[in-house]
Amino acid sequence: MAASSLAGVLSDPYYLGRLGWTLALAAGSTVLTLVLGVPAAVVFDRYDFPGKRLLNIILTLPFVVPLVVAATAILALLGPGGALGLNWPLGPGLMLAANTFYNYALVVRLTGAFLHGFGPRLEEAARSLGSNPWRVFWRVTLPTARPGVLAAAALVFLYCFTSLSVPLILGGGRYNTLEAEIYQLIAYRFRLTEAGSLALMQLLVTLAAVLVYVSAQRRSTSGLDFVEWRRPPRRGGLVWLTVNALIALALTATPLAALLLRSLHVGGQWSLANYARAFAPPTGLFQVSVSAALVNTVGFAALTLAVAVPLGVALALAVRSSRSLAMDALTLLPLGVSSVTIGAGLIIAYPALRASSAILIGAYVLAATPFVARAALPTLRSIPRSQLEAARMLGSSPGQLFWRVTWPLLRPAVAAGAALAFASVAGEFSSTLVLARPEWTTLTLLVYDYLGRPGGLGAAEALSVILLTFTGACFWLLDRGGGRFG
Amino acid sequence: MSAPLDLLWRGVSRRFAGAWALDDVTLRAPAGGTLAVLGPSGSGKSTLLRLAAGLEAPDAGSIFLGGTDVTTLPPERRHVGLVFQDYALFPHLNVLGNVIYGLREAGTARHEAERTARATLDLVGLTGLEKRRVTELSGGERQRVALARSIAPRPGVLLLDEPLSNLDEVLRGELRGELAQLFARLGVTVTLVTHDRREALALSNHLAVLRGGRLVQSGPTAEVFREPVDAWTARFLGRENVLTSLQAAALGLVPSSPGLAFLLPVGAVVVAPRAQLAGCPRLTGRLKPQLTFTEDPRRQVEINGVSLTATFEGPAEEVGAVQVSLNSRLGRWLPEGAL
Repeated sequence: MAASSLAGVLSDPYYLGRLGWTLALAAGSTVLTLVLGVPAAVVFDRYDFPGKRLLNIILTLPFVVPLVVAATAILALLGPGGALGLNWPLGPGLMLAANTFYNYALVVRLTGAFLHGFGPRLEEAARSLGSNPWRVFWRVTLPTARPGVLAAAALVFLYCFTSLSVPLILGGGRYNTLEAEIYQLIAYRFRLTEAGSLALMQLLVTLAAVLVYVSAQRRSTSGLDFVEWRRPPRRGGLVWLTVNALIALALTATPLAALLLRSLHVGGQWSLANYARAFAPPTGLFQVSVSAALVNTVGFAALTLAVAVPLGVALALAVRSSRSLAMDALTLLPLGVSSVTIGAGLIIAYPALRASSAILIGAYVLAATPFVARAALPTLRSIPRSQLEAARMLGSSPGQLFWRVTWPLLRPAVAAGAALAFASVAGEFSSTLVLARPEWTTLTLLVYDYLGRPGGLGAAEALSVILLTFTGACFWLLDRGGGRFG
Repeated sequence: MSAPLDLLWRGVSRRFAGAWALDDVTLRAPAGGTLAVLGPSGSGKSTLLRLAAGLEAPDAGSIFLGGTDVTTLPPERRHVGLVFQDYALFPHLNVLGNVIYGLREAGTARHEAERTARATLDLVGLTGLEKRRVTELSGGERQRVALARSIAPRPGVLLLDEPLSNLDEVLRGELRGELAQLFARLGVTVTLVTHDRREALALSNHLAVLRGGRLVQSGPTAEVFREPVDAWTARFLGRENVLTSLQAAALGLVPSSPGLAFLLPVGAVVVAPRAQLAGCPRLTGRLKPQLTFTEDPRRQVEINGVSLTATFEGPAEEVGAVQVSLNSRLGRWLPEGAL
C-alpha cells in the first residue's frame, strides 16, 4: 500500500517538483557551506593568532541558535526592511542564507576537529616533496580531510533537507520543501496517506545521508596522532586567515547583531517597545504569556534531558559493544526522520496519548537522544579495552566498572552532548508545531506566531533575542563542566 | 640523478618563545658525505633540519645549498628530501602513491614516475607492497616507504630526523646497516639528526655535537670520537673512564689547572695478574664480577674508590684483588664543559 501511494506521489509533477526543489536547496546549501567552511577550518586549525579563543566562541553560537531564531535573524539582516537595506524578497536567497548561517560553524568545527588529528606534518612533507601551498591544499589537505568533510556535508545536507522553519518563515509559501509540504498536508488538509508517502520519500534520501555520515565518521576515528605544532601565520597565510576570519564573523555574528539591533528599534528610533509588546499580557488570540512559554520551554527541556541522557548513554554503550554500522546509523536516524512525521506518527500510534504532554516529551526524547549518544561514542571508543579489563581484574563488577571507570571518563562528553540536546529541544519547532496544545506553547512557537501576525515582526525579533539568551545561558551552564565546545 | 650538493648553515640562529633554539651555528655537510648531528632532546637539532628543509626561517644567518643562498627559498623549490621522525605518510594514498608523489610534483610523466617509484621501492626492499595502504604497514615498512618517498625524486641532499628512533632494537640494528649501504649507493649528501650515539657513530663520516642550541664540536666522526673537546661531549659520545678532577686525584693524577676532567682510554687501564706494562705504575684494585655474559675483554675495576673500565683477558670467574697498570700518558685533560 505504501509502495503504491509512493508511486502515486512520484508520478505527480507537483510533488516531484517539491522533491527536486528540496534536493536542490539542500545540495546548494551544502556546497555553499563547504566552499566557505572548509578553507576556514584549515586556516583556523593550522595557525595560532590573537583572538582565536574568541573566534571559537563565536563559532559555537550557531549550535545554540534555534533554527527559528536563525531564520528570523536572516530576515532581520537581509529581508524586507532588514538591517542591510537589501530587501531580499522571501524565497531561495533568504533560505540559502539561513542554511549557510546555521551550518557554517558546523562545517568549520567538524572538519577542523578532523584535520587537527593529522597536524601539519603531512603538509610539510608535501612541501619538501615539491608542492606549493596551493597544490598542498588540493593534493594532501583536502584528500586527508575527506572523511571529515564528507561527514560534515552529510550532516548539513540532512539539516537543510528536513528543516521546517526555514521554508515556513522564509519560503513565502511558494518555496515549500518536502517537510513543509508534509506539515501542511497533515495540519491543514488531513491527507495522511499522501503525507506518509512524502515522508517515506524523504526518509529514503535522509537514510542515504545518514549512512554517508556514519561511515565517514567511522573512518575518521582512525586518524593518526601527531605532535602539536601551531604557529603564527606569515605572508600569504595571513591574508587567508584574515579573509576567513572576516567571512566567519560576517556569517555568524552579523545576523545575530542585526537581530539584536532590529529588536531594539521601532520606526528608526531606539526603543524597547518590541519587548513591551512581547511581554504584554496575552490577548484573546494568544493563549499564553512569555513567562508561561518560558516555563513550558524549560519544563519540557528538563523532562526531556532526564530521559534522554540515560537513554543516550545506554545507546552509546550498546553501539560500542555491537560494532555494527546499522547500530551506529540507528543513533542518528531520528535526526534524519522528519520531525513532523515523528509527531504525526506518534499521534497515530498512540491515539490515547493525543492530549497528553507525554507524546510531546516522547518526540523531544527521540530528537535529543542522538546528541547525547553521538557525543558519548568517540570518548567511549577511545577508552582502551585494557583499562576496563584492568578494573575487572581488580575486582570491579560490571556495574562498579561503569560507575568507577567508564562514567567518570565519559562525563565531560555527556555534558557537552546534553548541552547540545538541551539547546536543540529548547529551540525545537517542527514536532512542537504538530503536537503542542495551545497551553503548551513554547518560546519557538510564540516567535512563529508573532511572525505570522501583521506587524508582529518586531515582537518576534524581541522574543528571538530572549530565546537565544536563554538557550545560550543554559548551553554555557551545561557545557561548562565538559568544556568541549567552549 | 642530480649531483650531491654541499649544505651549509652559516651563523644561523632561531628563537622560539623567547629562548634560543639555535644560537649562531655554522656547520657544513660536505657533498656526498653523511653528517650526523648528535644532541640531547631540546638541543635544537631538529630545528637545524627544518631550517635546511625550508620549513622554518632563521632569525639570523643563511642556508647555502651547493654554494647558492636558499634562505628565502620555499621548501618546494629546494629539492631537498626530508624523512620525518613520524614518517608523515599520506594516509589517503597507497605505498606506490606516496612514492610517486614527489616525482609527479617534479613534472615526471606518469608511467616514468611509476617506473622510478617501483625501482626505488625495490631499492629499499619493499617490492610487492606497492598497492598496500600505508596504515596497514609495520613500523619498519613505514620507515622504508618514507625513505623511498624522499629519495625517489633524487634530491641533492637527504635529511633524516631521528631515522630509527621509532623502531625496536632488532629492527634498528638491521636498518642501521641497510641505511649505511643505501647512503653509499645513492651518492647523496646526507644529514641525519639523532640523540642516539650508536646511530650517529655507525652511519656518519662527519659528526656535529649540539648542546643547548650551540655547536659544541664538529669534524670527521672518528676524530670527534677520539678527541672530544670536553668531558660532557666525551660522556655523551659514550666514552668510558671520563674522570672528574677528584677521581683523577684519587688515582694520583694531578691537573695543571684545577677543575679539569681526565679521559683515559680503556686500553690504558690493564688488569695484569701476572705481567706489567713497561714503565707504568702498578696499583692495587678490586676486580668486579662480570655482570653479563660477553666476550668483550672489558671489566669494571675499582681503585681507591674510583670505578674504571679496564682491559682484562683473564678468566671470566675471577674477582677480587688484582694489580692494575695505568698508562696515564695515553689520557688527556679536558675542561668539564658545563654550560
